Amino acid sequence: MSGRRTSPVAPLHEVPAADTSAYRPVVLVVDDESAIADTLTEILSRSGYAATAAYDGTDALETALLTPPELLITDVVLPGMSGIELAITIKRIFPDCKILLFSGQAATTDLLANAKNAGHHFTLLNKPVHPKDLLARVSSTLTPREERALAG
Amino acid sequence: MASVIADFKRGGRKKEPQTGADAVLPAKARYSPASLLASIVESSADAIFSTDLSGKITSWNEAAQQMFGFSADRMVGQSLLRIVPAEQHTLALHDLRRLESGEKLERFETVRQTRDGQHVEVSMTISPIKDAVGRIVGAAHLAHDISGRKRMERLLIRSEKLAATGRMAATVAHEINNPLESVLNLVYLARRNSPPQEKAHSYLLSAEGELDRVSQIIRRVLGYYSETGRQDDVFLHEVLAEALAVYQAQLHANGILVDCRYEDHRRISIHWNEFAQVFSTILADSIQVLPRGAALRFDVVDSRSAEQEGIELAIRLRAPGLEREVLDRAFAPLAAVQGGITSSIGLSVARELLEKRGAQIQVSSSSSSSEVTDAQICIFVPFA
Repeated sequence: MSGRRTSPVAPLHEVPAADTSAYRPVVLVVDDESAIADTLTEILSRSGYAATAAYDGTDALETALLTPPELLITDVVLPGMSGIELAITIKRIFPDCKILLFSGQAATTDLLANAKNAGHHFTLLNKPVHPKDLLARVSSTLTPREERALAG
Repeated sequence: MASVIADFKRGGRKKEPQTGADAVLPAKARYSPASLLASIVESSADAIFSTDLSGKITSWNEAAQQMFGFSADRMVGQSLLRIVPAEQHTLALHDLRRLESGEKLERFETVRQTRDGQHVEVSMTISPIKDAVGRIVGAAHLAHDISGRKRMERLLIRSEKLAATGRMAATVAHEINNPLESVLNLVYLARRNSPPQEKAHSYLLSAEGELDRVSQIIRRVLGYYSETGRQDDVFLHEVLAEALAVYQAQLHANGILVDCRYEDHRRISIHWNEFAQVFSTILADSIQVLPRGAALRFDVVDSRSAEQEGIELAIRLRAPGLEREVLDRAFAPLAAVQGGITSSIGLSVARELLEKRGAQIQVSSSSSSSEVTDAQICIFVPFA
């Protein structure tokens, strides 16, 4: 199991599509570890998204009210308001906003179960998520609606 | 401080009221000291026997017969080495030499063997037997069976190890996941920012591959406890009984009463180690939280609901003088993880283990009065 990649060239599918369209989906990234929030924001920005970082729930809500996000990516364990509470609140204000939760804690299934009981189905990604996997998730989460929009 | 010690010393000098053998015996004892000693030796629960200095057995009590399986008739006149495992022969004879030279032997723990070759762990005391003029002519051996205690010690160590390893793995993995996420992102960004034809680019690509490996290792570490041991068909109460035996001394020392009712009649397929870890964690945490006089009741029963058959374990805790909030908080990780950071990683690991097996857990509590708090942990393990 070497897991090593020998090609020095980035695979084509990893190369972001050039920003040909003026339309950039707004993504809000929330993590109390700024290194994570900032890097993810940069990665998303370079991949054609209008990404903004926030470092706690309140901060995120303020940002969301200024620029309604189409996708919220949030850590589950945040100081103060939890990522799930944040997600539920955002959903209430912007029902169309997609949600991706990610967490470094293994024992967050209960929080998710609580959300599920309240009628919310959120996808949970476990940290660490490789950026290319995250990009794939982000794209698949956002695409269907755009396709529907295009078809309609 | 000095005055306290002085008081203590004065207290220590007080004459104790006469108790013990002298006080109990009638003024004119009908038994000679020798026959009294003989009857004490004969009725002792510890194996007591004597040898001469060459190791030949000269007396052998009833308990020695029980412990080693040889009757006094068979053993008297035989060598002491018959009950010593071969690898300890030299040592046993050396002990007699030391005793002969006047050295005092401290009590020690060792292994002896029975007639059918089984090993018995014993605590041995060997003391000199002197003749009328004070010469050392033999040795009195006293062997106290400590196999049970030793087994419990080993079980306790094993289950503590298991729980500690689980806790450590979970903590380490949780702590590492966040920095790892940052590093993955940073390396990815660095690679995307470096021209593909430059060496740095391929280095960063390799770094990403290696980081991928790290992530996989951590996933495996987190899942390590899911792979220990094989799945066994056991009675759930057997696993519980073992965990209880391990913590019995601690429960007793902390004044916690335990009551069990085992009425499960079907075996269930589970990983023994996992459930041992679950029960150990619950017991260890109970000991931490519960006050003296608290009671723990375990009911293991066959359970059949509309959808599923399985075994149900109900743990009822009754804690006088303990606030309900304290109990709620203590077992919260088992009920649900609040705010992510758990007070007992052990219990959250326990919960994960149970859920992995498809078990359902319910934790509830109530205050029947201001003095008494009841809590109930219900674990349902389905067959299949």
